[in-house]
Amino acid sequence: MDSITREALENSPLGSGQEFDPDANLYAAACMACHYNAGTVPLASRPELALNTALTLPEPTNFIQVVLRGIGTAEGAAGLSMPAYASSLTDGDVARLAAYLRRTRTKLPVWTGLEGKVSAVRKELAASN
Amino acid sequence: MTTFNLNGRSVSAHSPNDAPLLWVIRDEIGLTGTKFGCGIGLCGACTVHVDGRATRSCITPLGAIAGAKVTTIEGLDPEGRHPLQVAWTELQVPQCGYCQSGQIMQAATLLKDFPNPTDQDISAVMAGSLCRCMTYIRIRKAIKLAATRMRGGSAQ
Repeated sequence: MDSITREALENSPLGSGQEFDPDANLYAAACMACHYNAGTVPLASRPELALNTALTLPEPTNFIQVVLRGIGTAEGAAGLSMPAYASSLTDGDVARLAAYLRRTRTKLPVWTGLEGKVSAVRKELAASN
Repeated sequence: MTTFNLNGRSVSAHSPNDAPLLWVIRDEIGLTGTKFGCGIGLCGACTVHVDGRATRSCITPLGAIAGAKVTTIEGLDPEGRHPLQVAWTELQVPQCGYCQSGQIMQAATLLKDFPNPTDQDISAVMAGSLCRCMTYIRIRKAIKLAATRMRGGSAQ
Protein backbone atom coordinates (compact mmCIF):
# COMPACT_ATOMS: atom_id res chain seq x y z
CA MET A 1 0.00 0.00 0.00
CA ASP A 2 1.40 3.41 -0.85
CA SER A 3 1.93 5.94 1.90
CA ILE A 4 -0.82 8.28 0.77
CA THR A 5 -3.43 5.51 0.87
CA ARG A 6 -2.12 4.23 4.23
CA GLU A 7 -2.33 7.70 5.75
CA ALA A 8 -5.80 8.20 4.34
CA LEU A 9 -7.02 4.98 5.93
CA GLU A 10 -5.37 5.78 9.26
CA ASN A 11 -7.20 9.08 9.40
CA SER A 12 -10.49 7.82 8.07
CA PRO A 13 -11.96 6.99 11.53
CA LEU A 14 -11.27 10.51 12.80
CA GLY A 15 -14.47 12.19 13.86
CA SER A 16 -16.31 8.96 14.48
CA GLY A 17 -15.80 9.64 18.16
CA GLN A 18 -15.32 5.98 18.81
CA GLU A 19 -12.04 4.42 19.67
CA PHE A 20 -12.43 0.69 19.94
CA ASP A 21 -10.82 -0.25 23.23
CA PRO A 22 -12.84 -3.03 24.87
CA ASP A 23 -10.76 -2.88 28.06
CA ALA A 24 -11.43 0.83 28.52
CA ASN A 25 -15.09 0.31 27.62
CA LEU A 26 -15.48 -2.30 30.35
CA TYR A 27 -13.80 0.04 32.84
CA ALA A 28 -16.09 2.88 31.77
CA ALA A 29 -19.20 0.73 32.18
CA ALA A 30 -18.35 -0.90 35.48
CA CYS A 31 -15.95 1.34 37.43
CA MET A 32 -15.63 4.90 36.20
CA ALA A 33 -18.84 6.37 37.67
CA CYS A 34 -17.33 5.96 41.13
CA HIS A 35 -13.57 6.03 40.54
CA TYR A 36 -13.18 8.95 38.13
CA ASN A 37 -11.28 11.94 39.51
CA ALA A 38 -10.43 15.31 38.03
CA GLY A 39 -9.17 18.67 39.05
CA THR A 40 -6.32 19.30 41.45
CA VAL A 41 -6.95 16.66 44.08
CA PRO A 42 -8.53 13.18 44.07
CA LEU A 43 -11.64 13.07 46.26
CA ALA A 44 -11.58 10.75 49.27
CA SER A 45 -15.08 9.66 48.27
CA ARG A 46 -13.75 8.60 44.84
CA PRO A 47 -11.01 6.09 45.58
CA GLU A 48 -8.30 6.87 43.02
CA LEU A 49 -7.20 3.57 41.56
CA ALA A 50 -3.78 4.85 40.52
CA LEU A 51 -3.06 5.45 44.23
CA ASN A 52 -4.60 2.20 45.47
CA THR A 53 -2.49 -0.65 46.82
CA ALA A 54 -4.85 -3.15 45.21
CA LEU A 55 -3.15 -2.24 41.92
CA THR A 56 0.42 -1.92 43.17
CA LEU A 57 0.81 -5.19 45.09
CA PRO A 58 2.92 -7.90 43.45
CA GLU A 59 -0.15 -10.17 43.22
CA PRO A 60 -3.67 -9.23 42.05
CA THR A 61 -5.44 -11.16 44.84
CA ASN A 62 -6.69 -8.09 46.70
CA PHE A 63 -7.93 -6.46 43.53
CA ILE A 64 -9.79 -9.61 42.54
CA GLN A 65 -11.29 -10.06 46.03
CA VAL A 66 -12.62 -6.51 46.11
CA VAL A 67 -14.13 -6.68 42.63
CA LEU A 68 -15.83 -10.04 43.22
CA ARG A 69 -17.18 -9.54 46.75
CA GLY A 70 -17.40 -5.75 46.95
CA ILE A 71 -16.99 -3.75 50.15
CA GLY A 72 -19.77 -3.48 52.74
CA THR A 73 -20.62 -0.22 54.45
CA ALA A 74 -19.15 -1.53 57.73
CA GLU A 75 -15.80 -2.30 56.06
CA GLY A 76 -13.05 -0.07 54.74
CA ALA A 77 -13.39 3.70 54.55
CA ALA A 78 -16.38 5.16 56.38
CA GLY A 79 -19.32 6.04 54.18
CA LEU A 80 -18.00 4.14 51.17
CA SER A 81 -19.17 0.84 49.80
CA MET A 82 -18.77 -1.08 46.57
CA PRO A 83 -21.12 -3.52 44.87
CA ALA A 84 -20.13 -7.17 44.42
CA TYR A 85 -19.34 -8.04 40.81
CA ALA A 86 -19.10 -11.82 41.29
CA SER A 87 -22.44 -12.44 39.62
CA SER A 88 -21.83 -9.75 37.02
CA LEU A 89 -18.36 -10.18 35.56
CA THR A 90 -16.81 -13.38 34.22
CA ASP A 91 -13.32 -14.50 35.18
CA GLY A 92 -12.20 -13.14 31.82
CA ASP A 93 -13.82 -9.75 32.47
CA VAL A 94 -12.18 -9.36 35.88
CA ALA A 95 -8.84 -10.47 34.43
CA ARG A 96 -9.15 -7.87 31.68
CA LEU A 97 -9.97 -5.13 34.17
CA ALA A 98 -7.00 -6.14 36.31
CA ALA A 99 -4.63 -6.16 33.34
CA TYR A 100 -5.97 -2.88 31.98
CA LEU A 101 -5.72 -1.00 35.29
CA ARG A 102 -2.30 -2.43 36.12
CA ARG A 103 -1.14 -1.37 32.63
CA THR A 104 -2.67 2.11 32.59
CA ARG A 105 -2.57 3.12 36.28
CA THR A 106 0.85 1.81 37.34
CA LYS A 107 4.33 1.40 35.85
CA LEU A 108 4.75 -1.99 37.52
CA PRO A 109 5.34 -5.36 35.84
CA VAL A 110 2.23 -6.98 34.38
CA TRP A 111 0.31 -9.54 36.43
CA THR A 112 0.42 -13.00 34.91
CA GLY A 113 -2.03 -15.90 34.87
CA LEU A 114 -4.84 -13.54 35.73
CA GLU A 115 -7.84 -15.55 34.61
CA GLY A 116 -6.74 -18.57 36.63
CA LYS A 117 -6.20 -16.38 39.68
CA VAL A 118 -9.68 -14.88 39.35
CA SER A 119 -11.14 -18.36 39.10
CA ALA A 120 -9.23 -19.46 42.23
CA VAL A 121 -10.40 -16.46 44.29
CA ARG A 122 -13.97 -17.02 43.11
CA LYS A 123 -13.85 -20.63 44.34
CA GLU A 124 -12.45 -19.52 47.71
CA LEU A 125 -15.21 -16.95 48.12
CA ALA A 126 -17.91 -19.46 47.20
CA ALA A 127 -16.49 -21.94 49.72
CA SER A 128 -16.39 -19.35 52.50
CA ASN A 129 -20.02 -18.32 52.04
CA MET B 1 -33.05 -9.89 59.45
CA THR B 2 -31.21 -6.80 58.25
CA THR B 3 -31.99 -3.35 59.57
CA PHE B 4 -31.14 -0.22 57.66
CA ASN B 5 -32.46 3.28 57.13
CA LEU B 6 -34.50 3.80 53.98
CA ASN B 7 -35.49 7.33 53.03
CA GLY B 8 -35.30 8.46 56.64
CA ARG B 9 -37.13 5.60 58.32
CA SER B 10 -35.76 2.47 59.88
CA VAL B 11 -36.69 -0.73 58.04
CA SER B 12 -36.07 -4.39 58.82
CA ALA B 13 -35.75 -6.65 55.81
CA HIS B 14 -36.29 -10.39 56.02
CA SER B 15 -34.64 -11.30 52.72
CA PRO B 16 -31.44 -13.34 52.94
CA ASN B 17 -28.11 -11.53 53.27
CA ASP B 18 -27.15 -12.23 49.68
CA ALA B 19 -30.42 -10.83 48.25
CA PRO B 20 -29.76 -7.86 45.99
CA LEU B 21 -30.72 -4.58 47.68
CA LEU B 22 -32.82 -3.80 44.59
CA TRP B 23 -35.12 -6.79 45.23
CA VAL B 24 -35.54 -5.76 48.86
CA ILE B 25 -36.43 -2.19 47.91
CA ARG B 26 -38.85 -3.14 45.13
CA ASP B 27 -40.35 -6.48 46.15
CA GLU B 28 -40.12 -6.61 49.91
CA ILE B 29 -40.62 -2.93 50.77
CA GLY B 30 -42.59 -2.00 47.66
CA LEU B 31 -40.85 1.17 46.46
CA THR B 32 -40.77 0.81 42.69
CA GLY B 33 -39.14 4.06 41.58
CA THR B 34 -35.82 2.21 41.42
CA LYS B 35 -35.69 0.10 38.27
CA PHE B 36 -34.29 -3.25 37.24
CA GLY B 37 -32.26 -2.88 34.07
CA CYS B 38 -29.40 -5.24 33.29
CA GLY B 39 -29.11 -6.90 36.68
CA ILE B 40 -25.31 -6.93 36.48
CA GLY B 41 -24.41 -3.40 37.57
CA LEU B 42 -23.62 -2.16 34.09
CA CYS B 43 -26.57 0.04 33.10
CA GLY B 44 -27.30 2.29 36.09
CA ALA B 45 -31.12 1.94 36.16
CA CYS B 46 -31.01 0.53 39.72
CA THR B 47 -28.87 3.35 41.16
CA VAL B 48 -29.71 4.39 44.73
CA HIS B 49 -27.65 6.20 47.35
CA VAL B 50 -25.90 4.21 50.05
CA ASP B 51 -24.61 6.56 52.73
CA GLY B 52 -25.14 9.37 50.25
CA ARG B 53 -23.28 7.85 47.32
CA ALA B 54 -24.65 6.47 44.05
CA THR B 55 -24.58 2.67 44.18
CA ARG B 56 -25.85 -0.03 41.83
CA SER B 57 -28.44 -1.75 44.01
CA CYS B 58 -28.86 -4.79 41.73
CA ILE B 59 -25.45 -6.18 42.71
CA THR B 60 -25.25 -4.81 46.25
CA PRO B 61 -26.05 -7.62 48.70
CA LEU B 62 -28.47 -6.74 51.48
CA GLY B 63 -26.01 -7.90 54.11
CA ALA B 64 -23.42 -5.39 52.90
CA ILE B 65 -25.59 -2.38 53.78
CA ALA B 66 -26.73 -3.35 57.30
CA GLY B 67 -27.08 -0.19 59.36
CA ALA B 68 -26.48 2.06 56.36
CA LYS B 69 -28.54 4.97 55.13
CA VAL B 70 -30.17 4.15 51.79
CA THR B 71 -31.95 6.76 49.69
CA THR B 72 -34.06 6.03 46.63
CA ILE B 73 -35.56 8.43 44.12
CA GLU B 74 -38.64 8.61 46.39
CA GLY B 75 -36.47 10.01 49.19
CA LEU B 76 -34.07 12.25 47.28
CA ASP B 77 -36.16 15.28 48.20
CA PRO B 78 -39.21 15.27 50.51
CA GLU B 79 -41.31 16.97 47.84
CA GLY B 80 -39.65 15.61 44.73
CA ARG B 81 -38.18 19.06 44.14
CA HIS B 82 -34.44 18.37 44.18
CA PRO B 83 -32.85 20.85 41.74
CA LEU B 84 -32.13 17.94 39.41
CA GLN B 85 -35.79 16.85 39.49
CA VAL B 86 -36.90 20.42 38.80
CA ALA B 87 -34.47 20.78 35.90
CA TRP B 88 -35.47 17.34 34.59
CA THR B 89 -39.12 18.37 34.51
CA GLU B 90 -38.49 21.81 33.03
CA LEU B 91 -36.35 20.48 30.22
CA GLN B 92 -38.61 17.46 29.64
CA VAL B 93 -35.62 15.16 29.85
CA PRO B 94 -37.26 11.73 29.87
CA GLN B 95 -38.67 9.91 26.90
CA CYS B 96 -39.79 6.51 28.15
CA GLY B 97 -38.42 7.38 31.59
CA TYR B 98 -37.29 3.92 32.66
CA CYS B 99 -33.65 4.82 33.32
CA GLN B 100 -34.28 8.29 34.66
CA SER B 101 -34.48 7.67 38.41
CA GLY B 102 -31.08 6.01 38.15
CA GLN B 103 -29.80 8.88 36.03
CA ILE B 104 -30.97 11.44 38.62
CA MET B 105 -29.52 9.54 41.58
CA GLN B 106 -26.18 9.25 39.75
CA ALA B 107 -26.30 12.92 38.78
CA ALA B 108 -26.92 13.92 42.41
CA THR B 109 -23.64 12.27 43.42
CA LEU B 110 -21.93 13.88 40.42
CA LEU B 111 -22.97 17.35 41.58
CA LYS B 112 -21.96 16.64 45.17
CA ASP B 113 -18.46 15.76 43.97
CA PHE B 114 -18.22 18.23 41.09
CA PRO B 115 -20.45 21.25 41.78
CA ASN B 116 -19.34 22.85 38.52
CA PRO B 117 -18.89 19.80 36.30
CA THR B 118 -17.04 19.95 33.01
CA ASP B 119 -18.36 17.99 30.06
CA GLN B 120 -15.65 15.45 30.75
CA ASP B 121 -16.79 15.11 34.38
CA ILE B 122 -20.37 14.54 33.25
CA SER B 123 -19.35 12.03 30.58
CA ALA B 124 -17.14 10.08 32.99
CA VAL B 125 -19.51 9.91 35.95
CA MET B 126 -22.64 9.33 33.87
CA ALA B 127 -21.00 6.81 31.50
CA GLY B 128 -22.34 3.87 33.48
CA SER B 129 -25.94 5.12 33.22
CA LEU B 130 -27.41 4.00 29.93
CA CYS B 131 -30.50 5.42 28.23
CA ARG B 132 -32.03 3.49 25.36
CA CYS B 133 -34.05 6.56 24.31
CA MET B 134 -30.78 8.48 23.85
CA THR B 135 -31.83 11.39 26.08
CA TYR B 136 -28.18 12.04 26.83
CA ILE B 137 -28.17 15.57 25.42
CA ARG B 138 -31.07 16.67 27.63
CA ILE B 139 -29.60 14.85 30.64
CA ARG B 140 -26.39 16.85 30.19
CA LYS B 141 -28.34 20.08 29.82
CA ALA B 142 -30.42 19.41 32.94
CA ILE B 143 -27.33 18.56 34.98
CA LYS B 144 -25.75 21.87 33.98
CA LEU B 145 -28.96 23.79 34.77
CA ALA B 146 -29.26 22.16 38.20
CA ALA B 147 -25.57 22.74 38.88
CA THR B 148 -25.89 26.45 38.13
CA ARG B 149 -28.87 26.78 40.45
CA MET B 150 -27.26 24.75 43.23
CA ARG B 151 -24.19 26.99 43.08
CA GLY B 152 -26.53 29.94 43.59
CA GLY B 153 -26.08 31.33 40.12
CA SER B 154 -28.88 32.63 37.99
CA ALA B 155 -30.09 29.96 35.64
CA GLN B 156 -30.67 31.51 32.25
